[in-house]
Amino acid sequence: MFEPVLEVFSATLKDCPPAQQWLLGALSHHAGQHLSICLSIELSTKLIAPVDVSRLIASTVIATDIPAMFSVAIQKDIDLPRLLGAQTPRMPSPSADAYVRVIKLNTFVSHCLGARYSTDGPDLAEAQDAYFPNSFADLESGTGLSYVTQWTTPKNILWVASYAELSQAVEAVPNNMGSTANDSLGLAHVNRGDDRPILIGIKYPVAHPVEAFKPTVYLADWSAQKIYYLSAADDPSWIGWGCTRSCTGRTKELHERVHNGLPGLTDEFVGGVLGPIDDVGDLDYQSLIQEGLRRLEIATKGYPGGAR
Amino acid sequence: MAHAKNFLTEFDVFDATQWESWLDAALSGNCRVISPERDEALQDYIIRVFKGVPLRQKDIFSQVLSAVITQCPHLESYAERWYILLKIAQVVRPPVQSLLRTMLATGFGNTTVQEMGRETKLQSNLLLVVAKYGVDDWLVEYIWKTSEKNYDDFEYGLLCMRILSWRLDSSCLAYHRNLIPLFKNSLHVAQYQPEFYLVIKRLGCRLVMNWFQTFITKIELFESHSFELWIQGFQVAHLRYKDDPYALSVLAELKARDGRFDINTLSELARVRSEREPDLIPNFMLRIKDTVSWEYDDAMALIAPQFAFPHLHLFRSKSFSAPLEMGSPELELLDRANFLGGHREVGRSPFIQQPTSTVH
Repeated sequence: MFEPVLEVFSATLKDCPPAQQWLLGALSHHAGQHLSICLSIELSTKLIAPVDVSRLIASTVIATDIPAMFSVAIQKDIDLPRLLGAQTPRMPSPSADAYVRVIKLNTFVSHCLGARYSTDGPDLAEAQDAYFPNSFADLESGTGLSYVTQWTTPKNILWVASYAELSQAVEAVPNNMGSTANDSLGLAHVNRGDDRPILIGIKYPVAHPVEAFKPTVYLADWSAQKIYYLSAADDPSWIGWGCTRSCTGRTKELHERVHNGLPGLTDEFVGGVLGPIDDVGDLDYQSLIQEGLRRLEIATKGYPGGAR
Repeated sequence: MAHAKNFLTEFDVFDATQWESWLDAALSGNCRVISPERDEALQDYIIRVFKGVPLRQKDIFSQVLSAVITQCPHLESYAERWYILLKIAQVVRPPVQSLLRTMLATGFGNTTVQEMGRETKLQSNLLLVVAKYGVDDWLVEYIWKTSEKNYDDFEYGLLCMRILSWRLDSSCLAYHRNLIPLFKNSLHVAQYQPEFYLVIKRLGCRLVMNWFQTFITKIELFESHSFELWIQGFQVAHLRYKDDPYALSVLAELKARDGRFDINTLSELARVRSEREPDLIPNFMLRIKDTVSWEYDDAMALIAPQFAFPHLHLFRSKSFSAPLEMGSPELELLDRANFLGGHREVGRSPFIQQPTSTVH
C-alpha cells in the first residue's frame, strides 16, 4: 500500500541514512502515514527540498508520536524562516478573484482589536455587533477594515482561500455557512463547553498585491490531534494553490494559499460573519490516507489527461 | 462530538496539582493534552481550554491561576508571562482583584512587552482586567488621572472610553474632553466609530444627544483638526441608528452645522418623529434656525402644523420666495414622509403653489 511512499523516500533521501528507519516508524501508525504521504508528494513535486527533510529527520527523536516530534524539529530548525516559506516562489493574486481569510471571531478580536477587548463572551458579542454587523453573504455592504493596523499571526503565516470558490461553497447553505467553511477548509474547530466559535470571512481586494504561496508540510501543525492538511500536486487550473482535505471527506475541499503578515488593512478589505460551527466528528484516517495515496499517484504520474 | 467528549474527559479528571502542572507547562510553550490551533496565540489556547471544561474544573483552574498570578514576580523579565496571565485573567477573573489594582496603582503597567512583533505596554491589559471586576469611583479617578498625565495614545483613550461606558452614565461622554484632542488621522476615525456605536447602544441615543447639545456649545475649546476628525466618527456611529429620533436629531444638527441641512434631512426627521417626546423636532428646528440657510422656509412651514409647532410665526415672518410646486420632487418627498397631513390640497396650504394654468 505504501510502496509509492517508499519509492519517493528512496529516490529523494538516499543521502539520509536515518530516513528509512524514520519512515518505517512513521508508517506504523496513521498520523505517521499521513505525514509521510505529504512529504512524499511535496518531495516528488519539488515543493520542498530533500536537504531540509533530511536535516529535520536527522534531528527528530524517533518516538511513538513521530509527527509531533517532526513538528518540534521544524520549530527548532536552524533554517526556520526558509521552512516557513522565505524562499518559496511567490504567486500574484488571481486577477479576477479575491483572497478570503476565514478565522474565528475571537482570533480576530485577539489579534486585531488591541487591548480594548478580552475574549470573554460579552466582549466577543460586542465585537461582532460593532465590527461585523454583516453576514458573509452580505459582505460587500460591510464596513472597511482600515482600523486593523497589524494583520498577522503568531507565526506570521496567514492562510487564505479563493473568495469565489468559498462563496460558491457556502451560498448553497445560507444557514450553515460557518460549519461548511469549517469543514471544507479542514479547519476542524470544535464546540466545547463555553467555547462556541463563530467564523468570519475577511475578503481582500480583488488582485491585491500581496504575494502568496503554496503551503507546504512545514506550515501544518503536526502536533495537533486532528490535522487535515494534505499535500497535492498543482492542479492545472489552480497553479500554486494547496488543497487541505475537508474534515468530513464528503464536502468539496477548497484551494488555499498562505502569505506573510501585512502592516495593516485598508477599507477595501471587508468582513462578514459566516456563523457558528458544528463539530466535525472524528478524523477518518482511512479516507484521508486513501485520498493522500491518490494524490501521491497524481504527483508522481501526472494528472490523468492533464486535468483533475 | 466524540472529540469534544475526549477533550472533556481528559481535563475532567484534573485536580489542582495537575492543572498547576499543565498551566505551568503551557505558559512555557509546552502544550499538553491538546495543542494550539492554527493562528492561535498561547493565551488564546489556554483560554480555549478553560472555556471548554465543565464548571467544576473552571473553579479549580481559577484557583490555580490565582496562585500563579500571586506568585509571579513583578519584574520586567516576567513581562511576557504577565502579558499572557493578564489576558487569561480578563476571561477567568480569578480572585486577585486587589493585587491587580495594586499593580495598576504602582505603575507596573509601564512595563513593556513584545506583542506579535510590536512593543507595547502592559497598561491597557492591566486596566482592562481590573475593569472586568467593576468600574467604581476609584477606577474612574484613575482613568482620568492617567489619561491626563501619562497615556496619551489614542487606543488607550478608546479603552478608557469603553470602560467608562460600562457605568451606564455620562462619564464616558465627559471623557471626550481628553479623547478628542488625541484624534490625529483617519485611522483614529475608523477606530472610534465602532467603539462609539457601542457607547450609544449602551447609553441610548437620548442621553448622547442631550450631552452633545450641551457639548456643542463649547466647541470653541476644540475648533481644531482633531475636533473635525472626531465629528466624522461621531457622525458615522450615529448613522447606524437611523430609526432613532434622537440619533436623527444629532445627525441633522451636524448637517445644519456645516450647511448641509436639506429637505432630505427634514424628511428623515419626520419619518422617525418621537412619540415619547413630541417637541423633540420642533425644538431642534428652533435651535438650528439661525444655523441653516433658510432656503427651505416653505418646508419648515409645512411641517409646522404637522407637529403643532408652536413657533410657526418665526418662519411665517420670512418670505416664501420659492413655493413648492405641485408634483415637485420636494413635495413628493414631504408627502411620502407624511409631512403634509391634510394640507396637501391646493388652497389649503398657503405654501403650495397653484399649478401652472393649462389651456383647455
